[in-house]
Amino acid sequence: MNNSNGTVLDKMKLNMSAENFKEKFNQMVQLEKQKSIHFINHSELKFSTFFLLIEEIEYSEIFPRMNYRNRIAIKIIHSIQQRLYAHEINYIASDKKIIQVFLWMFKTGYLENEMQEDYDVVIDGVASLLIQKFHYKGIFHELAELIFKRNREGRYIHDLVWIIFHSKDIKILRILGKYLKSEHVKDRTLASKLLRYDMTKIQTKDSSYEEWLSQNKQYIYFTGESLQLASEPRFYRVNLEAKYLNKKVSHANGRTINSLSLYEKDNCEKIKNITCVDMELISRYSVILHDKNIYSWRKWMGYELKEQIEIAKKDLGGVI
Amino acid sequence: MILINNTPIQIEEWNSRYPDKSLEREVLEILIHSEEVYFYESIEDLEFELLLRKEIVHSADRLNKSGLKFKVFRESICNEKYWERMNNGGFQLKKQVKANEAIGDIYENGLKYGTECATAILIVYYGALLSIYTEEQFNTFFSDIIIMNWHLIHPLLKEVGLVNIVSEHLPGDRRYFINPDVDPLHPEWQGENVIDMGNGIYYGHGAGKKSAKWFIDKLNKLRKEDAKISAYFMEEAGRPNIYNLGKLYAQSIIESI
Repeated sequence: MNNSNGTVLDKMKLNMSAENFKEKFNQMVQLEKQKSIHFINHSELKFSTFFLLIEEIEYSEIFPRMNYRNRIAIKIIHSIQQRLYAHEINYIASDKKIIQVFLWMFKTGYLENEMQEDYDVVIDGVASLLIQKFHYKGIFHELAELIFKRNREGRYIHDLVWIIFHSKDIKILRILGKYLKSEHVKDRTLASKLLRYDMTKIQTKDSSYEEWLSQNKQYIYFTGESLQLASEPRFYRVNLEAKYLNKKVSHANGRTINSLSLYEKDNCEKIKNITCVDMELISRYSVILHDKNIYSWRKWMGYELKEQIEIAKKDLGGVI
Repeated sequence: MILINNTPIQIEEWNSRYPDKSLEREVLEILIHSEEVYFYESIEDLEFELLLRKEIVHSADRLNKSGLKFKVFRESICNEKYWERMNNGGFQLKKQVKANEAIGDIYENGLKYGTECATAILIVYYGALLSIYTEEQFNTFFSDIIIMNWHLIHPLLKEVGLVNIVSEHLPGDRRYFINPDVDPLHPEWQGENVIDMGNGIYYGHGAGKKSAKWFIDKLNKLRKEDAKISAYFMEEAGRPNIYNLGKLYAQSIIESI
């Protein structure tokens, strides 16, 4: 979808100021109408280029000749700028093709430089609708890239961070985790903050976030916390009880996917007043042992809690 | 229970200091009747906490009347005589500007300012501390301020950015109504930061002083079309490091004698 070389209009935009670009386009509309229609309807036009020309298009005679993509994009832009609610944009189109328009807007426009805040508002709105209204999950990489780029530039990222975590998709943690090893210190700092991953592990090249994620992904759930709530929100947590029982949880709410048996409920009672440190220890040990030998695990689960902790400490060397 | 220097106190001992139905009495009664033990090194430490909570609530009330507008970060505004608007929508104290004047200006000329709920709470805290410390002390402690909700927060106030489960909720606490199913195009209503004003009333910027039910009903109207989860009041609360702020206050009193 994205032609890295750009169309004629994309190249024009790169080579002149926004005002000059709009003026040139107006001249083209006046003097070479068909050509301007062809260029603006081009399948590989970037959304950022299109966005700059909206006013020119809307007030020109070529407006009725816009293709489906452009007509819908204009409606989406106005809806977001007018601060409508998500359900109020249902009037724009009821067919599934509309998702392709949203995708075009985001994927060809998200990394644009030198655009104003009103452009960012539209990009953020499009991303939010793609994920939350259309449940489209194919833009996480681009969304992460945008978050870290804006953060490096000191720009507003709260809404994008909210969007990506609100997806409650476990894939985002791996994607964000890659930035723990970024060459940019601002990326590493932000990634560490978002993932609550100890920066010293990164600095000592002992970054094993991917390994930790693999071990815990079945027990991770998203909390709904945000940068609006706290300076150090815990965007996600591990359900340690579920991990101890080796029961997968819903990433959306942390509840076990399958209900607990009486035996499992008894085990939950066992660990009710346990310290956080011991809970971390036995939950980690439980997963390791379960993977290694399920019979040994069942035997271990049958022991009293005190004995479970002792065995776990002995076998893991007390290391959580 | 309250222990001052390991000695329990009774509410009757404090009746003469704080009138009935005062905020301080409300806080004292909650703490005294709590099953948790609240330790204070001295009477002055407890008095400072009561003073600070009272001033937080008073400051919230003043900010509510100031004309401060509700604006999302992208549209935030400030009086550029005192503040520089940052790229991320926050406000940074200008160099050579006195912090007490800059904070005071928000309360005096609220109409020149617009921001969202979390940043407003931070302004409440600064307003409260401005009422407690002298101008000189305030300007010394807070010579460099950035106001951008819980981020880039001054070290002396960093604890207000954290939320934790507490045994009791007290007037002056920062709390949060969360709206899990908020409309995708209005993330500014993903929640509302509020100050507990006591008596079941909460101050939230953009809303004013309302009951918990009011906030929940309001947020529920701002949810997505197929919303399933109601907005709700989180149990966690945020509190400043009252002990450290109290020590600074005590130290400055000694230095002024």
